[in-house]
Parts: sequence; structure tokens; C-alpha cells
Amino acid sequence: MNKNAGNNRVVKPVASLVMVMILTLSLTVTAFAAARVTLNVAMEAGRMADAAKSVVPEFEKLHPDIKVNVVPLPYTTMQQKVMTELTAKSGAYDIIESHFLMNVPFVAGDLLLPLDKFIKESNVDFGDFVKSMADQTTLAGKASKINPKGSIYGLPYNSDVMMFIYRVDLYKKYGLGVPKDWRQAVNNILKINGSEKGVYGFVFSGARTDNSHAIFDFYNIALNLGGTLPINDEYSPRMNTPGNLEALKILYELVNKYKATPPGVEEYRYAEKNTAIAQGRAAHMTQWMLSCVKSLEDPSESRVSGKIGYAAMPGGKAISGGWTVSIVGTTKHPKEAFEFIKFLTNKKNNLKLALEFGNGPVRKSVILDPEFKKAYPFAQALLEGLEGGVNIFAAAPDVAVWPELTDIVNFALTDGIFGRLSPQDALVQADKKLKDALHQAGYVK
Amino acid sequence: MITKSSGNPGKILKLLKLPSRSPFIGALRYSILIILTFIALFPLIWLFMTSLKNEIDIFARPPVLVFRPTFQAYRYIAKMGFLEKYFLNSLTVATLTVVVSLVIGGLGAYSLARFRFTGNSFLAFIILASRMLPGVVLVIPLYLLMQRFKLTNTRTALIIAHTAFNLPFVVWILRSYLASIPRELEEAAMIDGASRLLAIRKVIAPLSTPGIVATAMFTFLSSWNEFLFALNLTFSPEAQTMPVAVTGFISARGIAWGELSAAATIMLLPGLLFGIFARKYIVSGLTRGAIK
Amino acid sequence: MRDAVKRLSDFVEKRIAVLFMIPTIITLGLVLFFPLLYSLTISFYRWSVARPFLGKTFVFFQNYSKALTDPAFLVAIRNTFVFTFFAVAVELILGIAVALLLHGNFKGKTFFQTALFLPVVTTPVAVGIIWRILFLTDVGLIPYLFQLAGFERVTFLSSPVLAMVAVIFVDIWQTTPFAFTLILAGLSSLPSEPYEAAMIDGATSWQRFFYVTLPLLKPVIVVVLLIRVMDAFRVFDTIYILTGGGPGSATESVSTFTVRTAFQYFNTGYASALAYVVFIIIAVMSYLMIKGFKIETSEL
Repeated sequence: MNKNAGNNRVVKPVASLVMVMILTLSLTVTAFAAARVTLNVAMEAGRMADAAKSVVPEFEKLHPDIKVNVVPLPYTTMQQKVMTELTAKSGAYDIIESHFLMNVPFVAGDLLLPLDKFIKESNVDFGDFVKSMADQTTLAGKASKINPKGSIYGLPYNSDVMMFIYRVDLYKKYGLGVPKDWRQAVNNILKINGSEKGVYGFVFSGARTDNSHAIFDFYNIALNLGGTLPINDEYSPRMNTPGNLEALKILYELVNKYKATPPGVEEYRYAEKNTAIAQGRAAHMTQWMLSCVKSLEDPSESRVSGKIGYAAMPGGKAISGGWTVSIVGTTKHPKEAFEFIKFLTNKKNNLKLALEFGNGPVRKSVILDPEFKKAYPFAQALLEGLEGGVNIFAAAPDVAVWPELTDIVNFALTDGIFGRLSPQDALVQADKKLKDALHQAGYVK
Repeated sequence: MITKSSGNPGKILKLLKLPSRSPFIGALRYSILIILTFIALFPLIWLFMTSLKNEIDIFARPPVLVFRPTFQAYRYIAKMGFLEKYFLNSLTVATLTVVVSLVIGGLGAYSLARFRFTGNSFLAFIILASRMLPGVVLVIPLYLLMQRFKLTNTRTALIIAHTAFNLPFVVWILRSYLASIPRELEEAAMIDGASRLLAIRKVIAPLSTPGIVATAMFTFLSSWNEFLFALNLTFSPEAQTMPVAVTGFISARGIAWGELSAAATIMLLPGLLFGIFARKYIVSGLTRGAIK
Repeated sequence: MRDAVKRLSDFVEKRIAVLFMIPTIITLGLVLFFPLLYSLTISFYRWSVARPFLGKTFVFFQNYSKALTDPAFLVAIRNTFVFTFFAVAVELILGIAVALLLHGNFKGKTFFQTALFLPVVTTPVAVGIIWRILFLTDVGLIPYLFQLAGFERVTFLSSPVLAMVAVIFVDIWQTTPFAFTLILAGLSSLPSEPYEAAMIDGATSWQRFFYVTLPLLKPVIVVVLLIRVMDAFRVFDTIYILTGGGPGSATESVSTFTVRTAFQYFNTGYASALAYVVFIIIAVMSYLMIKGFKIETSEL
């Protein structure tokens, strides 16, 4: 009897285990038989994810065997999340939306699929993408250490360029002209700052952390004064150059000498700039154009709708940027994934998403489309801006440590702007820290 | 301390002689208390008010005290699935953390309270020492380990981390509660033939209910409020808890003040409810956790 | 025979003791102590989890020597000490004061006690949000009040000193209830004899406070001090939300700096070393306090 009991004790669990296994197995098999291919797409929560979601039903109708699941991720944690999933090769995503900063480490780590073969074999009109923007965001056309063949990693999905934004009504009132260079721009800023009560001349991102745009606002000035990007092709830091110093001094003086910026500008990131302009508290800024138009022109949010001018950056050089959709190396369905990103970025959808969601157009044919021109009167300026735009991350050599480098530059710039260090010292500091970081990452000995 | 005078608080009060000697001192006490209360409560009220304002009222200068309340922000966060995603995640993580850490910690506490065995005091020390561990020293290796076991971005990861982090505290508090239950009670039950487990279930568990409730509330809040691990171990709505989710409203692309304060208000509710209606338990957990 | 039975039951008892302890030991071992050791090994490498292609190099103590010469980290350490010192000092003093105010019976005691207690049960992230709403220059009520008073450019979160004041203030707001709750509990269990003796000696109420109450409360105060110092030194949530460490590095704490290094820059090896430095500082401080105040661990 004892023996029997002992046997039972072993037999029972084993039997139930086997049964459970069989059950799961059969369930999975039936599930697979019935399943369509599912593509998980990681996208930034908000406009861009919503836009992508809106074309999914039509895509699924065209491809009944493919199911697309857009996973929106808030920007604050997106980079880390995608980085973690990709480096762990977890297979959580088949497609990711990303910008250059994210793409470099992924390409260096061989985590994305090169798309050249797909593009050649399909009818994607890659040449229709605004060239310099597309090249900069997809890493195409520029052979480098991490991308020796200059392969294409992704299709452009969303673009933007920074423009010089000013108050048309105040320009008229004080007889000012759209500035051709930063000297004129500073004059205009000071004129309005001194004359118009309750309106500060200029506003910029003064926060130092969390994707601050200080670096962009700075380079919109510096690039036009002969400034240099944070590192050169030999991975040498070069923040401390005459052009950069001049630009930094301009910002320093606007803040400290002329008090031409609102109090609290040091807390400003991307959005607070918009708010200051929209509330009529400041007269100028440099800003990502497409993403600010809505909040500046919507009368329910803005007191200055219709009074805003959008001009090319004084001096002509501006920061540009963009997002791509790329295929993750671990995907089991590369073909289907390519079908989707092709669909998402084709002319029809690119136009539709630009008009309906305010996505930045990535195709020349879309920007020149009459419908788009009607909605965005400054389409021509946009195209020029995108074509001449400088993506500071892409223009510098590919390094996988941009988040850290950006922070170093932001810290140093804001230290210099707000007088915690002299502008010169701030730039010297930046170079020293950049060198350290590049060394720590193993880029320089 | 020789004698505890819990029997005559009135006497001590008289001897301490701070209050009520003169009406002036009484009034002074009340005015200070009222000011302090204002400082303690006003920020919470202001948050709630902000959550009911529309964008224009939020930015209004001078700030408005009287305005037409709108539930727009609450509607928006309900529509984006805040409740069924993040609120539910927070609730799941906190509840399971409570259950798991009470079961594990309860056994450990019982063992520490009732038995003298080698290593008892050493364990007590370890438990205390682990309370000193700063979160940053653990979050990095836990992130790496969770990633290796494909647990990043799961609620399981958070439950594991929160359980481990709360466990020393749970053991500590429960041990102190259990130690205050005379061991004669269960010994009597055991002499009557009950097994130890039965004695625990029938005698100890009912008697230590207040202790368990206090510990549970404490652990719940600690998990509910936890941010560092949640921030770095989870990334998407399937696993993120509320403290992390609300940071989504503070992005470089703008701060959605209404939504932010609505979400923060919801996040504050359990703590405030506990604090108002069960302060006794929380206080007893606090004091027992800190002092023997 | 009786002896044998007793020995047997003793043996079982002991086994139960160990058995009950096993889950705790396993959990703490696997989730606290093993990761701790793992982290220690990582701290000797130059390695990034996000950039495996850049390799993993054993660098001995290089990460530690870099940490101790890294100006940014040294600033973070200094800030954290400043924060801890002022926050805990004010919390203790205020905690004692509020405890004395709440001691005894008076009308509305429960209301005041509950109201003043509430900040301690609030979520730190929400607290950061609340005070950000109140302090931010554009929307904040507090800068507005200062402007009304004629201080046009008082900007709390963009002035290095005021930002630190703000961060400390928020911590005081949130954790003073912790201090006064414990001290109040200590007050209510004080013996009455020393007071009677003091009364007989004709001591004034100030004298009674300094020579009787405070010494009797010392054990509680020391425990509050110890716990608050350990907690304040690892402050993260409120700073992360309120200032993000800014302006400049004015409110950067060791935790925010380490987390940024680990999870934004992904310098995994270096960040592990930073975390260990923080751990060592806290351990040494706790040890000194425990020794200095002659606390027995069983007292905690």
C-alpha cells in the first residue's frame, strides 16, 4: 500500500504535467494555424503614433494576413525602452520609429536590418525623399566606421526643420525687416525688448536636462557665425572655437546684459518657448517649425495667431531633424515589416498624415503638392530649410554616446549662458568633458 | 526607562505644562497649528484645483481661486486608458507585493520572534543593513538581471523588486508585533494538541491582525509610491505604474498641467485615504518600524 | 525518554525556525545580496550594456578613481550633503516642536494631527509635481507672490541657491510628519518621575524641556536622525521631478547623477562604481552615527 501511494505521488503529477503540455502544445498549434503575422511597431506616443495608427485599418485590408500593432511609448522613456528591448534581442518589436540619436547605437550594434536590398527590389521612390534630410536620418550615403557600406537603415517618416519665428505685427509697428544675419536679429530683438512693454525680445531653451533644446537654439546661431559641431571626424572635441564663442556670447548678453529673455527662461524646454510666444510674452524664438505651428496658430491656445512670421534662419543654416521607421534585426517577418513601412511612408499617406496630424512631410512631391501648399503657405521655405538643414548629430561622426555628449554640451552652454562660467570657460569645460566621455566610451585612447 | 507612565497621561500633561496655562499660550498653539495645517494642506488642495482648471485658468495671472471647474483633464486621462492601464498596474503590483511580502516576511518574522537559533541576531543585523542599501546600488544590477531573464518591462519584475525591498521592513514590523503576543497562548494551544501551524492559524493570526493590517498598508503605500525601480525597469503601458506614467505628461514637448495634476490627484488617493481613515495603523507601522 | 522527546521536539522546532526563515533568506539573497555582488564586479569594468560592440574591459579601480575625481560627481556629493544636513536638521527641530504642540489633550487634536500627518503618505512623485506647479516661474503661485511683493525676477527653479532651498523645503514639507509622529510617540511614553523631581526642584518649563524631556527623548530622536539621514542621502524622486538636478548642477544629487549615468548614458560600469561610492558613504555615516550615539542594533 505504501508502495502504491509512493507511485501515485509520482505518477499523478507527471500525468497532469503531460496533459498540460499536450494541451498547451495543441493550443499553440491551432493558434499558429489561425494566426496572421503580427507586426509590433514601437512609436513615440502622441501625434506620430496616432498618425501611424490611422493608416493601419487600410493596410490590414490590403494585407489580410498581416496584423499591425502600434505600441505608443512616451518620449521620456522611449529611448531607454527600445534600447533595452533591442540589445536584449527580445523580439518585442518588429519595427521601431527612431531618430538619429537612437539609430547610431542600433546600427553599430548590428540591431537593425539594412534596407538597400528591399528598396532596390520594390517600388519605393527613395529619391523622392528630401535628400539631405533622408541621408542624415537613415544613415544612407555616408560610409562610416559603423556603417562601412553606407547602407540605408530605415525610411524617413517625419521631418522638421527649425526656423526663425518672429512677431509680424511688432515688426510692422517698429519698422523692422526680417533679419539676414544674427547681428540684425539681435538688433531687432533689442528694439522690441526695449520698446514693447510686457514683451521680451527673445526666448530659448535654457533648461539643461531632459532633451533640452539649448543645443539646437545655440547652433541655430553658431552655425551661421562659423561655429563648429561638438566633435570633428577624428572624434576630437571642438566646442571652443571663435564662432561658437561668439554665439554663446550673444546668448549670454541677451540674458544677462540686456535682460531680453523672460525670467525663468532657464526652466524652458521645447514647449515653454512656444507658450511664451503664444501668450505674447516674447517676440522671437528659433523653433521646430511644423511642430509649433499648431500651438501658435490655434486661437484657443494662442493669443498671437495670425501675427507670427516664419522665416529662414538668419544666415541660412538651421538645425533639422527627423524620425525614421526601421526594421529590427530580430524580426521574423522582414518582408511584411517592409511592406508596412513602405505603405506608411508612401506619397499618399505622407500627405494625408501631414494634413491630418501635422506630421512633417518627408517627400519632395508632398511638400510641393498643391494641397500641402494650401495648408502650409511656407512650404517652399520648408523645403529649402530641410534641404539645407544640419542634423548636428548626423553631421558629426557616428558615435553611440550622443545622449551623454548632448548633455555635456547642454550643461556647458547653459553654464555659459547663465554666467555660472564665463562663455570661454564653459566651452573649454565642454571640450574637456567631451574628451573624457569619448575616451570612456572607447572612441579615443 | 524605569516606569512607563501610560497610565496617567493627564499627569504628564500637567507636568509638561506647555499648553493651556494661559489663554495666550492656548491661542498661540492654535494659531501655529492652523498655519502649519495650511502649509500642509494647501499644496494638496492647489493640486486638486489645478486638475479642475482649463489651460487658460492654469496660466492665468493673477492666479484664479474661483473658476468654473472642468473635468476635461480627468476625461482625457480616462480616455487614454490611464485607469485601466497604469492605475491597474499600480494596483496589481502593490497588492501582489503586499501578499507576497507578507507571506514570506510573516514566516520569517515568526521565526525571528519565536525561536532562538544561531544567527538570529546576525539575521536581524542583515535585515537592518539591507534597509540602508540605497536604491541606486541595486537598480543597476537588477536591471541587468531582469534583462537577462527577460523580465524587464513586466509587472513581475516590479513585484520582485518591491517585495525584496520591503521584506526587511515587513519582517521587522511583524516580528515586533508577534513578539508582543505572549508565547504562552500558542503553547497552550499546542499542549492541547494543535500543531504549530494550526496554532499559528487559530491563535497567532487573529491576534496579530492589527499588525498585519498596518504592515499591509505600509507595504502597499511603499510599492504604490515607488519610482526609481518602476522608472528604470518598465517602459510601456503594459507594465508601467502611475508614478512613471505621470512623467509622460512632463515631456520636452510640453507639460500637460491639467492631465498631470489630475493623474497626480488620483495617485495620491490611497495614501490620503489611509492617512485620514487609518492613520492609527500607519503610525503604528511607522513607530514599530523605527523603534522597537 | 522524556528527554528524548524533548530533544526531538526541540529539533523539530529548530527546523521550523530555519524552514520559516528560508523564503526570506532566499528572497533577500537573490534580489538584494546577489545583485549587490554582481554590481561590485561590474564596477571594475569599462562596459556599457547598450553598447556591447564597444567591448568590456577590466579596468581595476579606474572607475572608482574616476568617480572620486569627477567634478560633476563631487558636486553631486556636496549637494547631497548640503541637502541632507539642512533637510534633516530642520525636520528634527520642527518635528520636536510640532510634537510638543500636539502633545496633550486639546480641542481639535485629532484634526490637526491628521492634517499635519498627511504629507508623509503622499507619493513623492506627486509631491514633486505639486511643488513644480507652485514653484515654476511661468505658472507658479509662489514666484507670483514674490513678484507682487516687488521681487520681479525671483525664480526659484532657475536660481542655484533658491532651487536648493526649494528642494530642501519640499523634503521638509513631506517628511516632518515622520519625525513628529515618532517623537510624539516617544513623548507619550515618557515616565513621569523625572518631571515630578524637576518640579520639586523648581525647574522652569524651559529647563524641564532641556534637562528632562530632551535627554529622555534622545533615543527616539537619534533613531529619527539615523533613518532620515539614510533616506535623505538617497533622495531621488522629488528632485527628478522638481528640478531634474538643475539649474546647472545646483540640485544634482548622487542618486540623480548615478541614475543618469546608468540609464541615459548607459555607462554601466562607471555607474555601478558611483552607486558603490554612494553605498559606502551611507554605510560609513550610519556606522558613525550608530557608534557615536551608542545605539544597539536591537534598539532600532
